[in-house]
Amino acid sequence: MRETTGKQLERLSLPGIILLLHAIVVFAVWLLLFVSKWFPYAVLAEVRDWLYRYL
Amino acid sequence: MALPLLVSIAAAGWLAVTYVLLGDMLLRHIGRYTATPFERLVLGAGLGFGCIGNIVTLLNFLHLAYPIVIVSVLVAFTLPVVIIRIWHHRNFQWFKPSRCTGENLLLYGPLIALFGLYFLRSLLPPVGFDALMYHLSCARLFLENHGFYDIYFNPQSDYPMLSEMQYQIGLALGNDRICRLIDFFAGLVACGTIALFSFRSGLGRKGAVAGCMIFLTMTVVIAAYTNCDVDIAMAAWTGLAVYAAMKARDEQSTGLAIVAALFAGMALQTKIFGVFALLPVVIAAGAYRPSAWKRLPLLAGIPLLMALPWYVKALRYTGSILSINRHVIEGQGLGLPMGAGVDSPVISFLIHVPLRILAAPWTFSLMPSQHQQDTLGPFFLMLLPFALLLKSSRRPFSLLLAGLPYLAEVLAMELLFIPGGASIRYTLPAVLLLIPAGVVLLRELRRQYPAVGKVIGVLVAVQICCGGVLLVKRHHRDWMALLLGKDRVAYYESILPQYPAVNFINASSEVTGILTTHNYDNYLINKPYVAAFKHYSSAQACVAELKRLGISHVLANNHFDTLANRTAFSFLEGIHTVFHQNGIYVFDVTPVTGENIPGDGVDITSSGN
Repeated sequence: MRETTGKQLERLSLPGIILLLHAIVVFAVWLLLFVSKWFPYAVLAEVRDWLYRYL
Repeated sequence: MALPLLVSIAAAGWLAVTYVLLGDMLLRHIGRYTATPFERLVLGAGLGFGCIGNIVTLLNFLHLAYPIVIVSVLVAFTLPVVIIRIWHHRNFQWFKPSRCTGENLLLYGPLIALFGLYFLRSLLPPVGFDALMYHLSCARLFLENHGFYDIYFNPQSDYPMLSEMQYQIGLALGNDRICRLIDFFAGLVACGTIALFSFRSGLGRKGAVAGCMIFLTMTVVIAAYTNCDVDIAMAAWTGLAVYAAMKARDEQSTGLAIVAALFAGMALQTKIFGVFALLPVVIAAGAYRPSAWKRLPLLAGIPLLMALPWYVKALRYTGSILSINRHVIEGQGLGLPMGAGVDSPVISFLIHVPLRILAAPWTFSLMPSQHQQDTLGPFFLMLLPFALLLKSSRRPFSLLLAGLPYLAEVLAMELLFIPGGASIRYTLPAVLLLIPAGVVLLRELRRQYPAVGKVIGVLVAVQICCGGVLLVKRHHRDWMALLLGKDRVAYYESILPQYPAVNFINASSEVTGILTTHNYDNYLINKPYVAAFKHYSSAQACVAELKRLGISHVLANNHFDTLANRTAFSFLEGIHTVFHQNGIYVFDVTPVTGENIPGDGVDITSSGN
């Protein structure tokens, strides 16, 4: 029987969930920086400026 | 435009066939070991590249680097080998071609499209910053001088130059598009290396294709590949050295250890940072096992011997293997270790270094301001930490053990010598080793935690797509040049703002000698030139040197302020502008006599070098 996503996450343990969240956050930050290069307008521009100031 | 294109493709094709067949012959004679046809193809291509590069290097050391000699020696040396090997391999299948099914098209189509785009870029004249500044300009100066000499105004001219020796073949044939195609070939070998590691890790064709696509869509590769740079080539040689070392460890083969050492030597001959290849190669050969220790002197000795001529050359001309312009160091204090600028270097070290080491995975992956406006991207940071979660038998242990020390070496160099952050290009050899490791981890995640594996897989796919779009967008002027069939001058004018000034210099009969400041496209200048390289104790000394060098004009580039341009070199009384466009100025200095000028020190070191 196929395991549901919930069951898999239960099996993942706390470090695993932290690693998954870390991967998603890392990707989100990278994507934001990447996309804001092409569309440096409005909110994207502000977020980009903020990220560049602190990263 | 069509004829130079066809000539460049034909010549590069001839070179590629020669590399593969010559290298394959060498592989067969080095020792007894097992090798699949694909291994022979990739390893042979690399070894052939190194062999021909070393032949041209030897011609340069002997001052026999005339175009006719280079081409004749290559033809005389390689043609019999090629004919014999083609006859020998007439029934040999290098790799099993896949059938043209829908599934295969879906699998290979995007990869072929990426290679196609890079190949098309290779058909244009070279425009890369480093390529024009020293990779090609030095190769051209050595060719014009028929061998190595002290290019005192270009500090990079004494770095090891195996790739540049290949580019010299293209220049000897009178077609610099060949140089870009040679770089394209090096990238093919790099992707072949990723495929070799993938097959070794049991990933199969899908994993190999995924690894190659991740590599080709990384921002650092998009910036460096097919630009006549040397980083992709060095990554390929380092990767192949590690691969051969791993195989030597598995098969207890001295022949393969020699192959590994030869590739490590090629890495050392390609770039000064090639020395970083030694640590991963020694680890991959099993340095942690006493049984492998007997091969370690071989693995370290052969590469150092191969690089020795380059180091001796650098020592002879500049007194330093690192070939840094001493005048610049003395004047500006560059190259000082981090922390030297504060009261207590020890306190500065203790504050900064541990923090930078801890933050390195994130700064290398995400923070462009730390690494010359480029990053590795999220792939490694998303996947490699999952190695901690998996059973030890499931981890790509060998690849991590070879790739991570290389990153550590780059980080150490950055901490000691480059406080502003090293270029991400320097990590490319580690990238080549860690991409298959990441793909292995993704496969294991999909097996053990399918939902998590799916999420990460989608993120990786989005990264690849973004990279593909970036490749198309970033080089849009290249695609337009190809579509419109622009000639060389029109293409350069669309890419390089300083090209009109360079064109003026090349066309003007009054320009007999040119001093370039803040300029990087020295390769395109057809007149005798000197890149500004030192501080003078006084303006009179500067004028005297200009006269001694036969400088009639100064090309001033990279001054974004037009007023600053107009008033540049105002200490030279009598200087006047003869050409300016796009903020780049050409000054006539022939009326400058050196009289009635102040005696203060003068700085014209900003050569872009």
